[in-house]
Amino acid sequence: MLQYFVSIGTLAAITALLTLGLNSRWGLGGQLDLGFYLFVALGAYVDGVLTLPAASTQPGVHYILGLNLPFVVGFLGAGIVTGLLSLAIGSVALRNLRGDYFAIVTVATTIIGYTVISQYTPLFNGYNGLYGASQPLEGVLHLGPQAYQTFYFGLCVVILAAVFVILELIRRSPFGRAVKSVREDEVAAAAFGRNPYRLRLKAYVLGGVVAGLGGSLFMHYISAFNPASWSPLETFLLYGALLVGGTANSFGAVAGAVIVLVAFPQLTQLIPAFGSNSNAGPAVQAIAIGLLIIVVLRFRPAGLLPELKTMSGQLRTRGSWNWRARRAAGSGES
Amino acid sequence: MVAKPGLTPALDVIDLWKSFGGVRAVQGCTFSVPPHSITGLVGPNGAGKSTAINLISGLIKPDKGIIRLNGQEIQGHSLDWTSRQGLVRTFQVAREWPALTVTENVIAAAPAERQETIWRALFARRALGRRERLLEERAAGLLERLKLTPVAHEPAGSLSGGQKRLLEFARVAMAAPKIVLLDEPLAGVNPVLAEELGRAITGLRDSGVTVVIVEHNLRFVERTCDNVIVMGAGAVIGEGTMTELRKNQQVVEAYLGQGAPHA
Repeated sequence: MLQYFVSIGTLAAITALLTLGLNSRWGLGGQLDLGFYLFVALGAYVDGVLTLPAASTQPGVHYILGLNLPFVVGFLGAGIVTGLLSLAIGSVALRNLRGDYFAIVTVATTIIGYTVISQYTPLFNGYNGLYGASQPLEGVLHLGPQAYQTFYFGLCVVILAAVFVILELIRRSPFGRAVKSVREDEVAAAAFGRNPYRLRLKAYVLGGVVAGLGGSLFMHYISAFNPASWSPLETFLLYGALLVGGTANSFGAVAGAVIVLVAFPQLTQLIPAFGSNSNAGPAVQAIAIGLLIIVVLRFRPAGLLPELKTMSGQLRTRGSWNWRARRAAGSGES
Repeated sequence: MVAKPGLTPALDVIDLWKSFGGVRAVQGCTFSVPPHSITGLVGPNGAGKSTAINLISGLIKPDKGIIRLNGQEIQGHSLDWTSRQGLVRTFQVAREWPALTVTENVIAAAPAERQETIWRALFARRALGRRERLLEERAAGLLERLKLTPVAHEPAGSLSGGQKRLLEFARVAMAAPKIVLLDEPLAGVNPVLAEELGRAITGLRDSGVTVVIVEHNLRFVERTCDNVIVMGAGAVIGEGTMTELRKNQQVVEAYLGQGAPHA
């Protein structure tokens, strides 16, 4: 029983990290990024090829590098590579594209990335993906399998806490405020001297780095990663977590990840099996998550832990959806 | 208006042109704004006033023409660059940052001076904290003067239309500009508030800021502005004081009409 909780606890810590990454882009930056999971996947792959031994040791397996480096290098490498990819994509997509147009580019990028990674076998072993990822620091610690799981849980929690603190410091800083002002009204932000493009790009890269770090932890958690691990649904589930927990609130992001991505799926497994269709279970789970999002949006539109509370206690909704409506309602400015 | 000899105009607009498709919104617009003055920019709807403001502030790029800010050419640059040179503008619709509190709105308008970086957020927290406290004090002072203190910690999106106008002023004052372009600052503002805004505008001028106002309320323009520029069909058709303009036949026909107000 303890191992069960350690296992889902680890999953919760990793998904919370991913949700925090998405929160940097969408919550803080207001960027509707539908390709977020591409960066998680890339983080997992990059970590894999840095920490796994050379592919030539296994017949029929192909991937680049295979440097057999320690976990720390894989972990940091994953963050650096996904940060650089974010910089490359963001510097093109964020320059002139807004709202839905930007979202379409992120979808297209994901499809391109997915196709390349799954079809081009020499890169990350195509559909079969990478497997046999190392257990970080096990070579030093020599723990048994169960004790090691507990250690890895602790490691993920420590990394989550560190990233959480860093992101909170950033969010509460003048930089965070400037990024929020761009999210709220970028023309007004520019009118007061802020460069909207640079601020948006920084928030986007920040989210990409966190996604890569999360991907790396995920790689060592499930010890294998292949294209089946990242369907478009994964990004939407992260959005579900943010909507339920509270967009733009780091505590909300973590709470949302734990509730929507871990606790809820675990609880819905307790629903007794019915019918003979083996897909019934996952389908019920998906429906239940959908209902949860609808109920939360209906009664707490800004999520369980909103970004900002008014003095009257009234909860405000915020987000790109409103932003568009507000702009449409405005006069013929720009 | 011709600048006084020996005094560089705060703003110099020379032969400015802008077309949207087949429509010539601004055609050959030329005028100067003397420093430390309040200049009204008036004219009928469609005269090109807002387009001129958009061109000067860098929101849109001119097809042709020269814009000088204190002698420095600024045409073709972006809105944020122009703002960093000290030219700050407001919009016809108040553009607050709704999910930021009123205080945050004011502080976020202060010149950033490279403070807003991730690096400083993590490694220069003490220096940032000192700067933040100073900005908070200044913001509190501005909000106090504009009677916005009771809503200082409310999200700006929850303010009334008039309060948003006042907030806009607090932001402009915080930005410490050399020149301000106000696009219809009285739109949707009640008479009491209008008076308050008028005082705020003259206060800006008295503190050394050059002000340009696009406004339809001619009584307000006459009371507040040191000189007035009239635009019609994308070009300047007259300038001077309101008394002088009332004698200008072209201006009377195009804009003032025979029943022009005599304040």
